Amino acid sequence: MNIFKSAGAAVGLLVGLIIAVIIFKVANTNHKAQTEYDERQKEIRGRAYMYAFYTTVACECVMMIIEIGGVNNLFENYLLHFASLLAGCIVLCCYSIWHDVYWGLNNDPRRYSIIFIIVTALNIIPIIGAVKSGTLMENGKFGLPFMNILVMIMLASIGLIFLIKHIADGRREEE
Amino acid sequence: MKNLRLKSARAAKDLSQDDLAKICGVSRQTISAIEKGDYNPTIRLCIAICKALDKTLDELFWES
Repeated sequence: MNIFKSAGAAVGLLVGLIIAVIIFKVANTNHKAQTEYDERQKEIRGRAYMYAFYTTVACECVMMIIEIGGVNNLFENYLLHFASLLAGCIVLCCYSIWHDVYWGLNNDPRRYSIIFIIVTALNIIPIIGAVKSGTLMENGKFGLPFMNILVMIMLASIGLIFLIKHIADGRREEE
Repeated sequence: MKNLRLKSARAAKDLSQDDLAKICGVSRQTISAIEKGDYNPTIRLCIAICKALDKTLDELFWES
């Protein structure tokens, strides 16, 4: 066990969390970190969290089976668990977007769009670096840089569902 | 069932869905969902809407 590697990851997560709180404070119109929702939004988001929870549990069960069986795969174990978490996040975001409850009352979609673009850029840089240096795979397995690819998949899913929703709403208005 | 009385009361006050939503402290989509009959608001929100439109609960929400 590499205690320094674990401590580094924990510190990284903590710093990320602090930055996220600061970004939310800047991006929200009332400069509060917490997003506010009305009663309909809370009700639908409750359902979204439920489906996200079921998705994460189902994915984690699959990962557990893979680990118990010692199935050879191309990914480090932590990537499989991270993928489970992201699968839940994708379900939560897509369900919320589709039911018009993604943006809270104090969210500024324009500011959040800028944040999305910055996050996308921050995730692309390590991927390009890893591809160029050939470190996307280490010891025959996809490692840390693949985490950025997974985040990109999540962001792409969110972008795609926003686009589909926008087209669907446009058609409904025409009708 | 669509709530046409709410829609006409809002139009009579010359308010958009967005305006009414801001007065009541909810999202525009929530007002739209109530007008379309897709969402049953709580009594608290019904009262807020009635106060914003100077109407009674009976006038806007009671189905005769």
